[in-house]
Amino acid sequence: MIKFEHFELANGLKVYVHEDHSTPMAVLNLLYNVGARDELADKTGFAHLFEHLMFGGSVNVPSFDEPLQLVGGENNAFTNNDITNYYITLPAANLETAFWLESDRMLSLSFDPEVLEVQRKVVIEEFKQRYLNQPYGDVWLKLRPLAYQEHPYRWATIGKEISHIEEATMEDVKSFFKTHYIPNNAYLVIAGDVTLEEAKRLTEKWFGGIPAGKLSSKNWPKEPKQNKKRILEVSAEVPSDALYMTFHMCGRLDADYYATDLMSEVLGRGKSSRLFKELVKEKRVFNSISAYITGSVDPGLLVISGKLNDGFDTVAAEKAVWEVIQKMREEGIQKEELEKTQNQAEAALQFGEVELLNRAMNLAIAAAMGRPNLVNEEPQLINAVTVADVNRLAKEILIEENCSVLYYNAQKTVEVI
Amino acid sequence: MVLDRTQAPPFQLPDKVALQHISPRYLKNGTPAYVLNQGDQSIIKVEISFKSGAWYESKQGIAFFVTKMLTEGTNKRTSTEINDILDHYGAYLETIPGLDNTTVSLYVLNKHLDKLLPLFVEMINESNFPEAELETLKSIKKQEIRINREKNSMEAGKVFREKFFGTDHPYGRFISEEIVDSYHREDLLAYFTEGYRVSPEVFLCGKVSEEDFQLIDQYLSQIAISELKTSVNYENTFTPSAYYQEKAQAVQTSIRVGLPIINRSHSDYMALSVLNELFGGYFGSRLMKNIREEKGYTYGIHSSLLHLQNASYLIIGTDVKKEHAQATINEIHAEIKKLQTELVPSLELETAKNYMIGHFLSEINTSFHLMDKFKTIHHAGLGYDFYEGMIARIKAVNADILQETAKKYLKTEELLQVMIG
Repeated sequence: MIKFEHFELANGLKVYVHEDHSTPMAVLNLLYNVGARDELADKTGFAHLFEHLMFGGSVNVPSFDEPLQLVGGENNAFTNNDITNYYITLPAANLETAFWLESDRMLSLSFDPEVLEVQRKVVIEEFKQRYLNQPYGDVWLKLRPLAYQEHPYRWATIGKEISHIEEATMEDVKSFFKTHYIPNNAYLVIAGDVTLEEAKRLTEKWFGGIPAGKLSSKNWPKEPKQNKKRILEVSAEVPSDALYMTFHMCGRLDADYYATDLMSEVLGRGKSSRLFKELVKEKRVFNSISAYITGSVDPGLLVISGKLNDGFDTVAAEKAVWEVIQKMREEGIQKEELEKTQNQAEAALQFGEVELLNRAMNLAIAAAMGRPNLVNEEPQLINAVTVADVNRLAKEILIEENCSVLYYNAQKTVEVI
Repeated sequence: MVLDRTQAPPFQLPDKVALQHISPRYLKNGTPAYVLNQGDQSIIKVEISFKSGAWYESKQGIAFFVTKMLTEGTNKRTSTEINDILDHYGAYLETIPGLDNTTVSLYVLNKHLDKLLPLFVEMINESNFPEAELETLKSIKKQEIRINREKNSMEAGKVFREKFFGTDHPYGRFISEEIVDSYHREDLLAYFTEGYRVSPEVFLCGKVSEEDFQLIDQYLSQIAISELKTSVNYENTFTPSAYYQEKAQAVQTSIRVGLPIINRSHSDYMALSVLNELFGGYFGSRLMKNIREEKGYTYGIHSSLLHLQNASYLIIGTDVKKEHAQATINEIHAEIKKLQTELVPSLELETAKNYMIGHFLSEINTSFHLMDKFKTIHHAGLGYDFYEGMIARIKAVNADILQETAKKYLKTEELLQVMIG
């Protein structure tokens, strides 16, 4: 249970306070409701590049990190397809420093051209390190545009291609800031050893004077219903063949979200799952296999991914996966299987609430979806899922017409003697 | 009143801190149990550790195979039944075949503890290493070895330890595909029966009520303890060298640079810790500022102090744009030289020290963190003063001490250097 209070400033900044006096620390988590889905198709990777620029100094404070480190604080940020989230952990006695720094970069950045040049290079190295220089690193760069044709989820957070990062201009940066980094597009969570009164006083003091902006409309194209199976075959220098299959599913706030999540777990989470038992243990087609969901706010994907054992090819492996799916669709799942995933979810939620920072982040993410109390409703929503829900969804979602398949084949290199 | 945003708010940091200490207890069979009861969530972690990691191995890889097979079948239950039970209660079992100790940990909701303890003990006492499951594990391990060979950063970390310790040393040898192939069920069974459950210690954290403890005692005191064989002592024979394995298609080069250092009980240790922090230990460090923020060669560069039971070393790791690999090495050397020849400016030093203090304060709140902290001092033979006096010792480090420490411990001619890619 995450207890919290809520208030809103005149400029539209929504604030949530979670008191926890068992720790001497405090967290300031500021979420901007902007992610890769807000980008233009010819300027992808921008939300993430922008996250880097937020550390390059603001209008009154030349450096963000050092003043925070000086008071014993640490911070980081992440960007995904839906949101950009910034968080600071520091001794609670020094919480005001976090307000000072975080509010100043909402007020205005320094827009130093040198910062853009360096961060551009850093992000390009990140692109290479994480997506190009790793076996299977580019999988999502291929899978997204296969599964999505209209919705901006068709590109990855890092961007479609390096050239988009290379071509970003200072004008782009300024306009992105003006559009998205405004108090009425942000959700602030204060957590830890702080009182509601003190949080209110500090929020008014540091964020109160920042003017609201014009909220941009979030009407990107809806993904049309897929009605034909899609296949992409690639080969690369990887140690073994891999298979990826995606199925369209509902978004995070849909009534079927938790049932779909549990369905993916019955299918492919851990060694007691159907895919593992059938295809790793029994038939030995796969060396490893799992199923999971992307968990995005807009309609997302259920993903099955596995690495093959020698002696099988990706086409045969796909067929083996369909047999498992077929069986689940026809015979339905057992009550035991569902209870298992519900128990697992309960444990995951309890373990996930140990860290103050996790609690603060989850609260911010739920708030940005317009349902802050979702953090506390999740256990009930998970327990309310029935066998009938999962069986119905299996028939709806796990079908060929809704599926995109990526055969990721290992390049056979000829040995030179 | 107009808000002056150019002025930083005042701040303060404590001079000392008190940690919640563990309570040392014993199980009925004499096994030491260290208990830390803290937190609001109804969860518990039950960990048992044995002196049977790589250091104690008679055959390379045996610790890995025995430990990883614990969930794969007992005299009473198949692998499928075991995993069904674990998953059914949402429990998580973690098995770590470490370089020094092997540990088996159970993470579970308190309300399901009684259902899982019998299984936990059964896996530790009565595993029977079925042939088919062993074959699956072998194939998974071989694939992992192949994949890691393609990952430059994994390969660089591996080669670094091979060169650092030598491939005959338990810290410097890695399981190869040939070694995987050489394993049979009989090897595992023989070791498991005779030599695996050596010198157990139990660590309990999360919510640990007296009833929970009694229940744990009832089961874990049934563990059949193995005799400690006299273990081989390995010499650490470090010789600095430079190694470069070029990969034509690589876009990045993975770099590891390091050297042996003192351990945590040495009186210079806190000065070296502060030095490492300022040099490459955090985001505001000199290496990060130079290589990432000023030059943009990399997404990140870190320097860390690592401690094993019988060795300690400093290691700098980064993945850089290939054409800047040599320049990065040169910069690392230049930054060390600078630390040895110029006094660190006071604001920079204060920032690094305060960051360390804040980070330390953030790591002593949850039961899991507190238990990790305890295990560190326990294995190093230190008392809680190591932590409770830490802030004062950090504050006492000044620029002169840092310069001396850099001269004494960061000798560039002693660096081992590995580049892959």
